[in-house]
Amino acid sequence: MPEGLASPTLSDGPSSRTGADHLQVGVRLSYTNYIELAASLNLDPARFEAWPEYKIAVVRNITIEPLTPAITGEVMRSGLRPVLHIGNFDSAAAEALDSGSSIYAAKPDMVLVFQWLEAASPAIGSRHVRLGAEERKAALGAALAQVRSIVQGIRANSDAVVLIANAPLPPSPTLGILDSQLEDGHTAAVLEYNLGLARIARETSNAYVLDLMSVVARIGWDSAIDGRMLAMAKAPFSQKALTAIGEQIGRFVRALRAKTRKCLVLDCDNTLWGGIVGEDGVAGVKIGSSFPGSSYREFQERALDLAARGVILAINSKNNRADVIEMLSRHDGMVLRENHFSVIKANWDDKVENLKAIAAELNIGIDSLVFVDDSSFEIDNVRTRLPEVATIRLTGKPAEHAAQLADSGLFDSLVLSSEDRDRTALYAAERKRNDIQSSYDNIEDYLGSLGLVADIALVSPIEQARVFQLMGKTNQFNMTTRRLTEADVARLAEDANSWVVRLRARDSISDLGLVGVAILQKIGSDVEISDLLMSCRALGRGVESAFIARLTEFAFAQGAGKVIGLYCRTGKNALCIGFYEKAGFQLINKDTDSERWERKSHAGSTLAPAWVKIEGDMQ
Amino acid sequence: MNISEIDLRGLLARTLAVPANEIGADASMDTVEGWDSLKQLQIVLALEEAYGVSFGEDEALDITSLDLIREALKRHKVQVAG
Repeated sequence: MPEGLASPTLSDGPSSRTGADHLQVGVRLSYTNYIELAASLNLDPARFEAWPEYKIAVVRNITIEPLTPAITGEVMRSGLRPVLHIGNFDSAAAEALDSGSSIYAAKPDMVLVFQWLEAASPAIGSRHVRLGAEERKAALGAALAQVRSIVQGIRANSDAVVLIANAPLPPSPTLGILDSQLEDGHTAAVLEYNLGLARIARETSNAYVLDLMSVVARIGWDSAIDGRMLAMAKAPFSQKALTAIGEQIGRFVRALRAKTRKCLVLDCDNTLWGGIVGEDGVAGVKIGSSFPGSSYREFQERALDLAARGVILAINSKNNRADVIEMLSRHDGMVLRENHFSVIKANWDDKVENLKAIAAELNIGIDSLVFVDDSSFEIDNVRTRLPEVATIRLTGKPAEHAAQLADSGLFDSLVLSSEDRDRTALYAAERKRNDIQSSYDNIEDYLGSLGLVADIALVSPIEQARVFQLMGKTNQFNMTTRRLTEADVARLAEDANSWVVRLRARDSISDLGLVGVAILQKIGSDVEISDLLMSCRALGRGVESAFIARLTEFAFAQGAGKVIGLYCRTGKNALCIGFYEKAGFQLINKDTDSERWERKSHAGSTLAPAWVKIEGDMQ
Repeated sequence: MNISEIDLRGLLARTLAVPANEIGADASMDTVEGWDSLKQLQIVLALEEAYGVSFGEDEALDITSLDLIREALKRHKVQVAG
């Protein structure tokens, strides 16, 4: 794939996962992404053989062919195998009314009606100013009658769902600035036409409006309509509009055919509020009336809207449970409260395991879950190992988060009329979907695929400021929580009897930067790890195990008889409990607030996980 | 901007839904099955999005071969190399 064209989520992931990412609903795709999806269907049909077909016919008076990749891709993203039939140019009524026409031969599940108003009714679409009151009324009636006959024709000949595209508002009303002042202006006529289409849809079973007016309004006419292509090829839509129209069609297909999502599972830090409650404290996180807290509040409001529509809410967060409960019960800025959540998993477990537990506790399928997180690591972990969970990765720009949730369409529903479809075949095929998505059985295999690197070295003078900063603000994974001054750090780095070691972590997706610090001091013939801390965002991937393995190896290489690890309890570092034990240290003594651990030999150690590559120079 | 010949041919192949090896150096509307005037619209839209260019009215429907596409891209400061 050429550089620079992929959506952000695609470009930062290993290419082997690209196909699966394209299929993930909730990731916005570019026009070329849709072309790739459509090409994969055409070039490797065997891969999709088990998927149930979904047939779409299109009747139109415009060149709709550029839309086909987006329609194809969106049907695939619904777990269905698209079969498209495009009717003849400007033959909608004839095809709809003829029971023998080719659009019915294919037995479509859905028929799209794209009648561009300027072509279907030039009187309303472009010559409005020249009409008298009676003519205007007649023209509007004729335009609607034409669509009504198309829709009724389809209904008479097929039980397909009908989607009727409405009209974008005119960008340059024929009456200029006067237009908006008049009861019978040009814009008013197009609005009347659209209301008429909505009435036709309501009066017809299984017919709905495809709201092109809103799609174009959101993008803006100048960006949505390709005047050049409209003039030369009667193909009105830009790439942006084509992808947005495709997304809307996809939302209908999923609301009609895919299994409904039932439960919204939310991360906490930087999802429900700004900042990290374990680090910043309940008083320090951002949630409330001023930005960015207001944006997180807005996101919570949208989540509560979904709850009001019957969606179950749950929490899946790497945090101390007490901190999360305190936020939910005490913080005035919060919209969501403990009683809104059916399940709260706030712990340090793998989020995939938490999701499985949430589904089990609620007695719903894993495929009923939608998981929202700001961390690409967590989202990729879930996408890879539980592909049936729909995911939304927040952009990290809080002002966009509420719209991301609302626009995902993952909880869309349409009230369907009497024809209830046989969904058994669909469900069986959904189980087979996993086949085309790379999946890993356990977290080790997944982590192994990430290409994790722990770069461990003595701190350089230029890194000392970052080390000082990290020591000052890290609370949760901080064994002794000594707050040294910058001068202390510099002195210890210089001292021949102590070593200040820093850890940088990266994987094939991103560079986490300098995320860990340890200070080792020579005490007699032993080496004591007086400080050991890591930023929480780097935890849970085995990097911490690689760090302690490298540190003990280094200490023994310096001739240490024993390596000593210290733990001093604070209100916030319960996460550290058990760390030295797992690293093969023995507990020597323990009182209420501190523990002392020792390790006598590094021999036979296999502490560093196989999937973390250690590099860096300790000279 | 520089792009590679392989990327360009890959994009064409995907848009036309043909295997990449069917897009030779002299590929054109006349030599590739399925490359018709409707596919031409998709090709233009895909090229524009992928390479951040906007073809003029005099170009869009006329760049119906790999050679003509390369020349048009060059006019829009996109060099195809290798």
